[in-house]
Amino acid sequence: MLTEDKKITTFQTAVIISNCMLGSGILTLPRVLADSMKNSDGWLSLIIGGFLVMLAGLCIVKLCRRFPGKTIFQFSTDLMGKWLGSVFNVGLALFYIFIAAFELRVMFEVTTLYLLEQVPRWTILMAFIWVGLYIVLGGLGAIARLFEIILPITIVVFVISLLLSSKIFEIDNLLPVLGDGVFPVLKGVGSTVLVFLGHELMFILTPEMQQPEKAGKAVVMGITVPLFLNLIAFIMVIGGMSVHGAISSTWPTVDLLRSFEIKGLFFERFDFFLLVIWIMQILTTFSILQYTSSIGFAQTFRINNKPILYFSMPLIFIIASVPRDVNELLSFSGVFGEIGVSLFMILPPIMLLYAVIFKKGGVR
Amino acid sequence: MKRYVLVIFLLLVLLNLTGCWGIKEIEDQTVLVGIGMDVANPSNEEKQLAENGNSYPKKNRVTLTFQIIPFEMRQSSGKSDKSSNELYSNIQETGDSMFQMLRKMATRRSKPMMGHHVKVIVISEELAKRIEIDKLLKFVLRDNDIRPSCLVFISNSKASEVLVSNNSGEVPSLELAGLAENGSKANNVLPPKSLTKLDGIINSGQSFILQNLSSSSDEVAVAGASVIKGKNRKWIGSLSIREVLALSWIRGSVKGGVIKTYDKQGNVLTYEIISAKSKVKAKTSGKDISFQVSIRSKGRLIENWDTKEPADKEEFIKEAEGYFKQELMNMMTDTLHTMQDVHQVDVGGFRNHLRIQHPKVWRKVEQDWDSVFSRSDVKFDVDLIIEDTGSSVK
Repeated sequence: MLTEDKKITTFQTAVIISNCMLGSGILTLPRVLADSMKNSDGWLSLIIGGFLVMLAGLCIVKLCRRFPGKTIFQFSTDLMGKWLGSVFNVGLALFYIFIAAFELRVMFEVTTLYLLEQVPRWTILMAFIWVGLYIVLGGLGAIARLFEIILPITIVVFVISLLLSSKIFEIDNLLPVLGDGVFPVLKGVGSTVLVFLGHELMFILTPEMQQPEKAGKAVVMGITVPLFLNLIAFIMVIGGMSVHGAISSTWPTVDLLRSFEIKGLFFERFDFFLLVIWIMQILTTFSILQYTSSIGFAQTFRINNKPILYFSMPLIFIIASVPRDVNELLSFSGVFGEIGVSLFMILPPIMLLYAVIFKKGGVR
Repeated sequence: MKRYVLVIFLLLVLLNLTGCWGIKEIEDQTVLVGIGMDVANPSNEEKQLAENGNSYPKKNRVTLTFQIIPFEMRQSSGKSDKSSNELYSNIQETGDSMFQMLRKMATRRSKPMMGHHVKVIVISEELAKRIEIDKLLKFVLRDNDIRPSCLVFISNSKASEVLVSNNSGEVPSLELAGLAENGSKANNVLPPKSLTKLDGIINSGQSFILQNLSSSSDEVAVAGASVIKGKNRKWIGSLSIREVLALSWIRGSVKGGVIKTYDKQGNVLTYEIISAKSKVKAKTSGKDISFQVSIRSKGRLIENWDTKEPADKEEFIKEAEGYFKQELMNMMTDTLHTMQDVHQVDVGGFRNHLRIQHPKVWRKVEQDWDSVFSRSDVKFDVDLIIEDTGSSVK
């Protein structure tokens, strides 16, 4: 489009990973965790989950380094054979389309609940898809530069608005630590991994990097930011609303910010800040997912990815309109999250082992 | 040609940027600031309206009082002759679905309602006896307009009476919100409970207390608390101001205030609290659960009506400390008796101490905690020191 694509820097890679992870999860995670564990130890699960995802991310990087200059969609055929590889690619690309559509729908649900009650669904979805399209048409360089602008704003606003809720924070809600033993914590790890999906972007980002040898560093940096933000969100939500309060709230993080007003700080209410920033964040998640899926189709069928971007717009719109209501949407997202976990947590080590044993790819 | 199409398209897109899709002028809104809930008792206006066809199928269970502030461009004339009825108005609706009532109200007002600013919800004691409190609050929690930061109270009298301002110049709901904030600085008033906190409490199935409001003919005051039992989520009794104060001591939420007692001759003695700390230790041995509450307090002797006793005498100070200790002990044991024997609930936060100190034991008894607590043994130990006697020695 406007600028030719240069390779992205290590920092930009990390930023893209962070932005992709900070999606709809941060608004629902406290509920999901509290619900699956029934106690307040979720923050431990979060830390463990974060480290597991880092390990998976490092596996992916290792795998990509064996096929320099190739994305997953290009080397999957080397790994699995032509047919299986192509099927895998198409499946993966479709999976991304679905995830993107669900993120979009979650954005609509929250927007329509808290911000724009009377705006019809198609308007919000379409406006969003168009803006997303504008970003992704610019290619990865443009995406990276935009994300670099958005991420710092996100971090500052998220952290400040969440910390303001210390007004209603009660430490008792977070105690006792490990009262029910270790088992629930491990149970919670599964739910946290869903939130951290996004590390698999390394599959396509590694070959695009200026210094692919620093990809491991990038993925660790990229996961640290969402881990940190999700930790703060979880701790503040449980501290403010208690475990039982978080379980019954659809969007606990928003509800937390709706639970207090601060007088004399120029603004009384901070939920709008969070929501506005969060919508930007969803846009980043959405656009990178759409981009990835288009790259998938393009590289599988060896065509340009621009027409695919245009074609995926109506598809995304339709998929986003499929779920009947929030509950159905969240259960769909849950199912796709599970698929994502198996795809990107369990598969990479297996693929790596396979590649090492059968000497696939350039050995380094 | 292509360029023209593009230009026209872009101009069309520009229209979307004006951002006036869901525009609502603030002058055309009525702002809801408080909701009162009472046992059904349709008002006269309603009856008349219903006779004339403004009715729908419903069971009369609850009468809601909506307090609204009409947002009009009031000419702020220099005169301060604003009567209170111009500041706000209360509308009553009777029915069973809160939301339906809210929407029904729209048929009686020319301007749409805005729920963002609901500050207080007042539930009358009578209603809380009959209907589970979570049923009453479910709508408010689900609603996307009403913020969960609004405060919940119980009123001794009718909620509709509490929501009437008598000393004009202030909207009652806002007055109540301020009252709760301000009152929680005194110890005999509970920290106000917002919907968020309440939601967590109700879902955990614990018994809890809510701030009581009592209205007299010309003002409303916070006084005592209502006990809501966790099992059936209904009102089962109330606590006096003294009992609430004792609970503050037990919970360690005392911030200043006084202890007043009498010496042997019936003279007033008052102790000003400088600091107060409470430590609760939960002990478990087999099936027996016991609690040890240790209270440490420092303060000063601030009032002493026995003018013959010089306040600098060591034994007098010791004696006074004894009186205050006794008073505090009595207060707490009475309250414990009320909790364990009269209402058979734990509203002193003991469950939290057990949950945090002995999580494994807690999991066994949590289903039936209220009755387990009623059988457990609670010991108090008070350590109170009069640090100084203020600025007079006589």
